[in-house]
Order: sequence, then C-alpha cells, then structure tokens
Amino acid sequence: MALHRYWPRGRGVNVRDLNSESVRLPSIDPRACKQRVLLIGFQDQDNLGLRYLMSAVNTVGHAAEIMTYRSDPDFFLQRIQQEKPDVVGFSLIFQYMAPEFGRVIQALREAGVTAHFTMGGHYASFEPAEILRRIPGLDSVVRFDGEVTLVNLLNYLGKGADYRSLPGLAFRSASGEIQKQPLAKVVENLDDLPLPDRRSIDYEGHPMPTASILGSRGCPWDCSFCSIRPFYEEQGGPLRRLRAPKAVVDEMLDLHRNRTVPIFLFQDDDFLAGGKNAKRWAMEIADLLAQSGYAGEVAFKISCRSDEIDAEILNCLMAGGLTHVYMGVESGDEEGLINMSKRIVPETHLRAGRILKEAGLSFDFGFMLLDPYSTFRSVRQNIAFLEAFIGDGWAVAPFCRMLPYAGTPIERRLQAEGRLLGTQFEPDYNFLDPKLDVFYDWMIRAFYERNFTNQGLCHLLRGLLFEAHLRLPGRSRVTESQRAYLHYLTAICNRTACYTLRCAVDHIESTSLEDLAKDPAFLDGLVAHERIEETRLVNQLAQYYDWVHPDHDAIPGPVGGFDKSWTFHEGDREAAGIGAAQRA
Amino acid sequence: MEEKSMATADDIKKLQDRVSRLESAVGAAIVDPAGPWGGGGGGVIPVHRPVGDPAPIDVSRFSAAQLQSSLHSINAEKTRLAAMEGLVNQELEKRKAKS
Repeated sequence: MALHRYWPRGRGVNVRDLNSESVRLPSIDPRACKQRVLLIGFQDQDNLGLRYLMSAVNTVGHAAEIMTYRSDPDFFLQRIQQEKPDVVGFSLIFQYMAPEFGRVIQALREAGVTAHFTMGGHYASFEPAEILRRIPGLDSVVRFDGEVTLVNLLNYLGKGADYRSLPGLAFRSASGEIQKQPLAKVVENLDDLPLPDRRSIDYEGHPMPTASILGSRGCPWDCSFCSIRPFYEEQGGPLRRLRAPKAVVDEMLDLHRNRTVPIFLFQDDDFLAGGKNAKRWAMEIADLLAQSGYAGEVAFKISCRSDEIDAEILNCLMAGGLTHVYMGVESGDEEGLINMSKRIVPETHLRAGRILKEAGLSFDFGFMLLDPYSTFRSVRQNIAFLEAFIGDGWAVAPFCRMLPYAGTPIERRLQAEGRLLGTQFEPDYNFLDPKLDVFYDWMIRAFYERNFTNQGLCHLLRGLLFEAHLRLPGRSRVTESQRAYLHYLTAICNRTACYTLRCAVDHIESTSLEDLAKDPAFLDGLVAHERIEETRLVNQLAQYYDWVHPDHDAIPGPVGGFDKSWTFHEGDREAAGIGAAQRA
Repeated sequence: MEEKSMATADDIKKLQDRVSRLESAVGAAIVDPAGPWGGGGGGVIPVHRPVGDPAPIDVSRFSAAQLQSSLHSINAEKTRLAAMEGLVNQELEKRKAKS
C-alpha cells in the first residue's frame, strides 16, 4: 500500500507563516522599580529556555538569577529569605512533575514567602487552568514563548499596576475564577532576543565542556505523540523560526574562544525540518564553521528525522564539525509509523542508518516499542527492525512506550475514543489487547535499569559511543580497535535485549491471561536472564573504560560522566515512557 | 608468613607440567582470558571452550525451569559468539583491504 494515501491532503509540512505581528523585547518601564527574579528549573543540558528568559530579564534592566530545581523546599527557602526576590518563576518541563512543584510552592507559601509566583513550560502553556486550580500558591502562568510576557509582567509588577490585562498570562481573578488573556505576539526574529545568559555555567571546570545551543525554535511536522507543533501552532507565528546562520556561528565561536567549549548540542527540535530552505540554512551554518578556521576544533550534534539524512547534506555538515546525529525513529513498523503520523516508512530509517554508518558518524535515536494501537505483530516487527537497524552495535537500542502528553493529537484521539486514563498530570491508557498490558508491565520490570537509569547500559553506551566517534582530532583518544570492541559490546547488548523481548512476546501471546497470572516463572526467568547479561556487559564496559582511560583523567567515567552532554536523569523516566510502571 | 603464602619454584614447576599436559590434550596453547586490549600473553581471542569432551548429559534430570534457563544461557553465548564473529570478520576484512 502506498503510504502517501495516509498523508493528510492539503496540509503542508514546510515552514509556514501564520497570521501574527512580530514584536521585539519590551524595554524596562522607566516608572517601574527594578524587579528581582529567581528562576527555578532543571539545569540539564543548560536549560536554554530558562537562560533565554534570564537574559531577557537582565537585558532590559531587571535582575534574574537561576536555581536548579530540587524537591526540597528548604533549599529554595534559604535563598529566597536571603535575596528576597520579587518574583519566582518555575520552569515546568515535565508534566508529571506538576504535583511535586505544587508541593514545593505550597511549602514556600506556608513559610511566608509573598513573592509573585509564576510558571511556564509546555504543560503550563497548554493547561494553565488546571495548573492554577491544582497549585493555589501560584499567581500566574506565562504561556508559550515567555520572554516578552515575563518582561511585561515585571514592568507591571514594578510599577504596582494590575498585570492581569497582560497578553500571554493566565491568572486567578479576585473572585477565584481562572482567566486566560489572549496570547502575546511572537518574536519572529529570534536574533532580536539577547543570547542565553550562560555566566553561571562552569564550562571551564569541565574536562570536555559541552554547550547547548538553539539555531531555531519549532518544528513543522505533526507527529501524533509530540506537543511541539501544537505549541507553536497555538501561540501563532511561524511553525519554525530560524536564526541567522552567522549569529548562530558567532555564538558558537564566542563560546569556543572565550569559554573553552568544543562540543555543541543543537537543541533544535529538528535541525533540518522545513524543506530545501532549512537544509540550505543548516549547510550555511556548517560552511561558516568550516570557513571560520576552527574546523576540527569544534564538533556539534543535531537532531533530525531519518528522511532528512542524505550523503550530500551529511558531507557538508561534517565539514563543519558534525559529530553525532539523534534521529526520531520511533517505530520500525509501517502501521505504527502511520499511527504516529510520521509520514515515513521503516526502510527510510534503515537507509539513514546505512548512510550514517558509512560516514562513520555515531547516532542514537528515540524508539517507542509500544503505542496505543500496538499489536503483538507490530511489537515483533519492531524487534526485527531493531535487529536489522542496530544489531551490529553501531548504536544502542533504547525503547519505551508512547505517552499521551497534553496538547498532542494522540491525547485528543484517545480522549475521543474514551481510552484516556490516568490523571491530568499523568495521562495513561491501556492497550487494545490486554496481554500487551502484561507485556508492558513485564518490559518495565526487565528493562528499567537498562533503559531508564544513569547506571543502565543505554546511558553508558550512548555516552561511550559518542566519545568513541567524537570528531575532534586533538581530543579524541579512542583507537579504531577500541571502537570496534565497543560496537561488539553494544551488539551483545542489543541482541540480548531483542532475544529477551522476543521470548516474552512469544510466551505472553501463547498463554492465557489466567495462566500468566498464575505462573510468572517464565517471565521472572527472563528478567533474571536479562539482568545477568547486563551485569556481564557492565563489567566489560568498565574494563573497556579502563582500557581507553588508563589514567581516568579525560572525560569522567561512564557512571556520573557525560551527564553534561548525554543525560538521562532519574526524573526523565516518565518522559521516557514508563509512567505506568507504578500504576499496578 | 609471607614465605608460606608464596608459591615455591617446585609448585610453579608442577603447575607448568600440568598446563603442558592439558595443552597436549587439547592440541593448543592455553592462555589467560585476555582483556579487551589483548593482554595475558595474547594469541587467541577469549571464547569459552571446554577442555576435553563434556561428560554425557542426562537432560531428563532437569526441571523445565532449568532447561529454560539453559536455553537462555545458550542463547547468550550464541549472541556473544555471533557478535565476536562480526568483530573478527570486520578486522579480517580491514586487513584484506590493506593488503
């Protein structure tokens, strides 16, 4: 069957403009008192969202500081009591963390903190009413891109004016009713925004300084599980805004020359999305880097789709320093990809893998072994795909299940089908085949450590493979045979996982639910088998690490290392699709 | 105390004789399993090999769970051997290409 039949007609996926007027960052209101702001959020991979906000606030003349989020309110209370900020801004990245943020906010209020509390992030933008209802200590929500709205809020608070008329805000009225103002206009030219404030990041103290950078915001693709397009659709303005290539390269070179950073992680949702224009844009960035005289001294990583990979663009990007590619593969099953609205076939993934391997580039990828419409057939197909794609150990096989996040098409679809379960903050669903629920619960038990922890093989191998292929001649210390050995270990890791998964699929499909409940011995045995093999591999990885780093003085070791660049924090586990692990 | 815990020259001689007998039985040199960097005297890539033929195995003595567990172990070794085969073949291909 031809896949194009499933493509929505008349809906382009190219970058397109929606009706909106571009705005610039407002200046400080001369009548306003300077406001002190404490921004609180996760600092994983620099958290550029917070640092753009910090920079916007500081540039106009208010004063912002950043604190890393912790679940302990005393940690914040001490600093808040010392510095007495006028405003505290909470950056909620993960929807499921909302109740925990709520507890921290409640504790701060109970301790007598009277500062204005506001919150931003994807979930808060989509569901401000729910957030304000569930977190009574919160005064407002800054919706969608926050730079303009936050600065306006500070200006209003600084002059004691009623901020509740401000576009982009949601708040609780005097009567307790939750109100949403129309959204703020979008800053279409991202280069009008000041560069993210990185002063408090200790790049110089890291043996391999790694900086996150944004060349663009947004993504025009409409994958069913993703909230990025809905986010930019709802706020108006272009679905993807590109910065000027020269501005991007200038920022990189400044960080390289003045902050010792050689590795850059582009956090763009899809670096190559947007047709020929976007590819030309990406190649211009690479060309400018190549011409800068720093070729070979800086390396960068991008994220993209597999159908955007071709030899021509890869050669160009590599000349500029491309060292690693993250691909949103998501499924190796044709029907699964249709359900995800990926507009792609599995062969395209395989082709991209071949091109990347031929180029000698490391890559990793996202993969959802299960989605709400999975069948045992599709799971088998996904396992076979993983074996074909990375059975050779070029990359480590991660896998999780799809979660219906707020604002996504899949959330709406499950809602319409009456299948949306769980809570507002932790949406959930059951599979159509109840035996797949058994399979999923078993999968979490068997692969939790491997797939979702910092000590797990996925995290360790991702970091080590990245290092082994790092295209920085002066800094790379991994030899060709060491690299080959690492791929050998990764191949064992992947094939063992595929074997374990396949055994479980065969067993669960051929056994009644009643018998599965009565006799868990076989599935328990598979969990034990997987753990034994993982332990063997972790020991071998430790040996490999000693081999590559006999003096342990270069990049920090697999455990606790790479967090700067290749993170999988404990807190990310829900985002990785294991939210239902505890539901039973 | 120290002297008692150290092997004497005679002990070493006995061990060497034993290794020689085993080597003549399997028809190949026996070396320590090498680390990935090829230590331990080198010479062969460490794969699990029984020394001599295994004794007869009466599989009927094992429970289903034990048999299942054996299958997993066999598969684990097959997986490792297949990956090792890939590694060795890759190296051989490289050598061929160079020569």
